[in-house]
Amino acid sequence: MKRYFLTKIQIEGFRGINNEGNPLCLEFKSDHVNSIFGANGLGKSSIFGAISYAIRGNIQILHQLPHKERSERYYTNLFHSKQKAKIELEFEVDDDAQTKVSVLVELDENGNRQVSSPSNYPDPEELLKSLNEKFTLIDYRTFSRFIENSPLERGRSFSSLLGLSEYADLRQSFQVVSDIRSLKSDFELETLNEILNSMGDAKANALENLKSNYKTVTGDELQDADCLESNAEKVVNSLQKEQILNSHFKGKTLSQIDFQEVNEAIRVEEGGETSQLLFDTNSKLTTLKKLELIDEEVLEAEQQGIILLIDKKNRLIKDTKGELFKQLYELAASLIDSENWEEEKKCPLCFSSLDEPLKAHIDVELGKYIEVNNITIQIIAIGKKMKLLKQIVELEGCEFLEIGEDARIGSKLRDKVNAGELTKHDLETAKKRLNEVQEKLISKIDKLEKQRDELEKKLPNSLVKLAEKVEAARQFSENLTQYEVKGKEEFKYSKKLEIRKQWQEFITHATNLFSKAESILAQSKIVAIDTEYKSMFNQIMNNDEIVPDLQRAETKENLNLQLDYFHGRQKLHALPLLSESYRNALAISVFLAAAKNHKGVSRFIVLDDVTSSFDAGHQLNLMELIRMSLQYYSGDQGVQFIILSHDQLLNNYFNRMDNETKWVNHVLSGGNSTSTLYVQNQNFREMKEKIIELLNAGESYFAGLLVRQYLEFKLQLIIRKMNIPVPIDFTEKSISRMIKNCLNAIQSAVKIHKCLGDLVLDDDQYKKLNNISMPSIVGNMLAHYGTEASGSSLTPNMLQQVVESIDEYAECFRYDDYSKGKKCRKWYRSLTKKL
Amino acid sequence: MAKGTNREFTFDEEESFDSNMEFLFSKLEDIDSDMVQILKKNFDSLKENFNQGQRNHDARRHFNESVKRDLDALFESRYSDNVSK
Repeated sequence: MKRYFLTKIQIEGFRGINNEGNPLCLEFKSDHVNSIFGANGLGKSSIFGAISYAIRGNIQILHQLPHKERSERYYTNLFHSKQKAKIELEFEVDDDAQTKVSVLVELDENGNRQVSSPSNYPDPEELLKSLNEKFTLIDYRTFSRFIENSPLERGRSFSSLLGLSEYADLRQSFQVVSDIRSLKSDFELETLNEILNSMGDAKANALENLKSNYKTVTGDELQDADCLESNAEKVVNSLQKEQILNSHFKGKTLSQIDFQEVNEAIRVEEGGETSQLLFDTNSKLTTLKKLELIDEEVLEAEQQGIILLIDKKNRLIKDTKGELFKQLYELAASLIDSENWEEEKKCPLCFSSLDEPLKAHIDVELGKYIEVNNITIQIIAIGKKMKLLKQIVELEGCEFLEIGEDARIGSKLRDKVNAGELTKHDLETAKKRLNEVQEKLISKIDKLEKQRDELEKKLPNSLVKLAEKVEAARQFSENLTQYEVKGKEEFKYSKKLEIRKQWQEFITHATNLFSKAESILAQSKIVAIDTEYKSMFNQIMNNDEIVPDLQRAETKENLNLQLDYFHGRQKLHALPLLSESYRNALAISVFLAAAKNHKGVSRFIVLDDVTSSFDAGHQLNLMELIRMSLQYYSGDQGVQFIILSHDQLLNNYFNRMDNETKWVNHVLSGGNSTSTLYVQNQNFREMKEKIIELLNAGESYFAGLLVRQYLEFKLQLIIRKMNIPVPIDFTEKSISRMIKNCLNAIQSAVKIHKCLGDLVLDDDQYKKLNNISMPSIVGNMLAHYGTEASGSSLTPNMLQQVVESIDEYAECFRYDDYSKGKKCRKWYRSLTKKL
Repeated sequence: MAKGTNREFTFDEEESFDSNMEFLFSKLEDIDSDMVQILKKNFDSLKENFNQGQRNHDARRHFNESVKRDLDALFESRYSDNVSK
């Protein structure tokens, strides 16, 4: 796998960097630590933002703003006339310094992003994506988030840090799709179960009837329920023995019998309407007797459970605040989920501050509605199965009980059950109604039985019995069909359910397998960095009385921060005990250890102001750790560091390193986001050309701003080159006095060494310094800028004179060197040493 | 390569994510070859949908709907003869 260093970035029109027509250019060395110093407001964060936007497609701090404040137009520089941003990154392949890949990211004011490769890299967007590792871009928020997150969130972000983000993401996905409740609802497992149960009930009912019909026809018990076809044959054989039925049954299967024709034959044989009436009466009696009577005790037992649920539901409803509030909570939940509201402890309606996160409150309130809903679902499920309602519907629907449509209440009660609106009053009404219709049923059966007895007396006994058998045979045929149909459906639904349960079992197994393997992998990665991050933590904080420990739960993704050792005590929670600087030191140790071990596509790390919570000593410890142990210099080990800071003390360290070791320091300087940002040690010539260009174009105001920067850069360069000491409050003084501060520091140092007699400058240089250059600078420039006045009152000639004077001033600290056979202009080593 | 024959299944940290997923599939193949085909078919949706800011609820339902269709198709192919008789 190819790995990349970042060797150059050019930025124009992005965030605080205007640089119209003159992109800010920063060149980095892969085998050097690269630092960028910039005072607050100079555009340092815009550089971090530009790299972030190029690689991640956004700037996290903007991305997290409330939606209305997050407009894409804030990505481009507001003062760039074309409102277009360009970020060009140049990468170097880590094992082939000659191979450079450049990627250009362009953005317009509408947020349209375009990625291309001036070096013709085939898929620049994919390259940028692959560089997006957790530790490629780190700012101080990265650490606070890592520390303050919940153990679960920390565990997930840690997995990403270990290069396991794909595993962590997939583990979450697996867990979501193997959730038992979701599986039950999404795959309708309970519905299928209910259908299967009702099929089973219908089959059992049909079988009971088949047994009864069989006995009536044949006089025998139905022995083998699995051989219903042969039993049907026996029914046919039994009836075909009767002479008057023989021709209708012989040679036919049961399903081929025309029972209407058979009944007609019996009636003809009997010779009158009495037989038909007996037949009809028997049919009615068979139908009515099939209707079940439910006794009081069964009803009571059945109702107890549902009444408890209805009571519970009523109590919970009182605890909620009604439908309007439910809608409000749901809207608020959607608002939070949509990321339009980022203030987790603020009310989006009145903006008041909250003690707890808003989401927690909404979850509790919506939880009450969900509980009501869950109980309603239970009531519906039980209600649907209640014999009470089924029986009312069935009895009211029986045509022989002659209950008119308007008088029926069963279907209305069933609708209420389905809508989840069943009340205790409804149950009472249903009970009364069942008693009424059951009484009606009993009385109807009684009446029909008397009628049947009367009719039978009028008819020959043999024909009565025959008619009963024929009716039983007809019902046997009907029940057989019913039994077979339900059997097929039962098979179909049972197999559907079986396959879905097979998936449920499989996905649960796959999730467990994956989660376990992911845990083991993460654990082994933690072990791999264990010694490393503990040692780094110790190097930064220089305190072996505190030893941190990361604990990842075996079966969960949680990552807990603990202390192995704390001033003699062992195994304590880290967060309550560690101060902010220690917490940050722990976070940065973990990030750097992970980065050191991870061999991803990105072989560079950009750190933006990560030392904010450290004092000077700890800052330097961290920098030394990076310089000595983590920076790539050659071979397989190390990564390239690009460190951004606004801290002047760190800048002093950067400058010292820049002079002595493999370290490149860039100092940013320039105006605000309306003008041009420069890198101090690279662009003197370009700046001078730009000043002259502006002066020729009559743009004295902008030329004045640049002259001031130019002056500042050169004076600071002299201070660095000559190792001139500066007062401790040097950078804390007003930025508008920086030029004067620099001049004072230089002049004082020169004066001291002149008095001591060890000044390296020759007499001409000393005179020129004090008598020509210095007065010109002071006279022309400081008089206007020392009081923070605008430079617009300076004429082009005066500005040009200042530029010439500062160049001459700087030349006083240089000499002609002929040691290599030709003239070479060099800086003195210090104010007291030439070489 | 990932280990998982006779002992606990683990991922190989030297291998890429995709390779480890192949190992996972081959392990799952031993457990249920029909179901692993359905998982493979819907794997992209499992990997991507949950990570693109979509609410889990929607992503899950989308995934499960697709799996359900595949399970029903499997049911048809296994039992269509028995059911249509």
